[in-house]
Amino acid sequence: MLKLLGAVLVVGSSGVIGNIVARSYSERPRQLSELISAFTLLETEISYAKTPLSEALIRAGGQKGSIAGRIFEMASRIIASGNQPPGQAWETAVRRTYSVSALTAEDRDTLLAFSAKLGSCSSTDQLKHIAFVRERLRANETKARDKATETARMWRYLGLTVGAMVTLLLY
Amino acid sequence: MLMAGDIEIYPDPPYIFTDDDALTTLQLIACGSLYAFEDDLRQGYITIRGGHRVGLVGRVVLYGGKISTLKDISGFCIRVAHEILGAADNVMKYLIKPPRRLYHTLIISPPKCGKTTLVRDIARQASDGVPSLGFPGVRVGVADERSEIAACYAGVPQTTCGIRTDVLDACPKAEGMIMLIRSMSPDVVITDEIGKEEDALAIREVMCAGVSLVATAHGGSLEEVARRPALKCLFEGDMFERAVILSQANGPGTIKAVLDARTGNPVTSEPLG
Repeated sequence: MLKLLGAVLVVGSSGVIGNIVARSYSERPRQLSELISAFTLLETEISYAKTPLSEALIRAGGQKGSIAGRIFEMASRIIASGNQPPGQAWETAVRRTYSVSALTAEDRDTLLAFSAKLGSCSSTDQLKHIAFVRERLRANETKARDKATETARMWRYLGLTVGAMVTLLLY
Repeated sequence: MLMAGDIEIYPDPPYIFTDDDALTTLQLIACGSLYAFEDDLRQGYITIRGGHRVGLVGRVVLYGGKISTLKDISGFCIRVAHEILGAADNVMKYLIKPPRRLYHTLIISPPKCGKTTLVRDIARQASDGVPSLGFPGVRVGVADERSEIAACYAGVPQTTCGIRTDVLDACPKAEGMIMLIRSMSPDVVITDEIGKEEDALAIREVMCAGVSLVATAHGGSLEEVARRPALKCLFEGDMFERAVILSQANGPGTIKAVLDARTGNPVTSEPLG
């Protein structure tokens, strides 16, 4: 009876681990899509209203808890404090948030590219930079989504299989 | 660092102002959003929160023969705005045309004599009313192209410019004056630093629409302003009724004279302070 209970626990927990890993793969495309929406809003703020950067970032960031919201809000706060120029502020915000996000190094580098000339060029150039970053994020998102579907399924099965294997070995 | 044009500090060894310093200064002035100030850069100055104006010099970039922007910015002239409530106390009684109007007035002085401070206080008093003179207060429209009169930040005036005052912020004044008349039905339209032909045309429109106009212009005297090519037509048509001349004699804001703009004679022999 105890053995059976142990076996259920082992299979159950490894299944849960597999699910957690699988979910982290679907997190990335979600976060990328949030970032893409945020950049689209930022584009509107800059092209139509010419809103100053720190305010535009806050407005474009969307939900506070989201990764996009966190990066945009942190960058905005640093810019408003005047301690760092906008490009550097953006870099700091991306680097600090990266570790708690599901983004990859490739996504991080795409985001970091946005820091070049941030806030120190004309609106036309600024909009070009936004469009460039958004395109690259979109490409990353498509790749991430394809990968997520495949890999998530694999991890879910792998979790259960490993659990079952361990049970068999111990039995 | 130069304060009011004089070298105040002699550091040893001297500090060399670098390109990086200039860029950082510019970014701080523009709150890290240079794109939001493209039009201002084209004019050679940026107005920051509080209505302070920062003049800029650098290399001008031309596009199709017109100034497209400024680059390699190397010098800054920061003019700190002062709000003085009561700056117009001594002149209001000469500008009010009983019972509920103001004379068409032009405030004239060289730079740095307090034109904007005076015109802001005129806006406030005309809008709130002047009980001691029996003036009830009228609707005032301010066409604030350089954001210096009302110093709007995010649409909210940072200075006291009256309870019945509508401010059209950052709008080219010629268009702004006409827009105000169409949309806000003001009794008085106020604007700063007129000097272009389109300003003169818009002023004629305002005056002929039965609305009082108060404006400022650079110049040393009434005759000097009347000779300015763009403004000449306003004087030929005797459009202005009053001219207030300011000077630096007792510091900025010294009122030298209030003239009848049609005859050029002072309207009072009393000292104006």
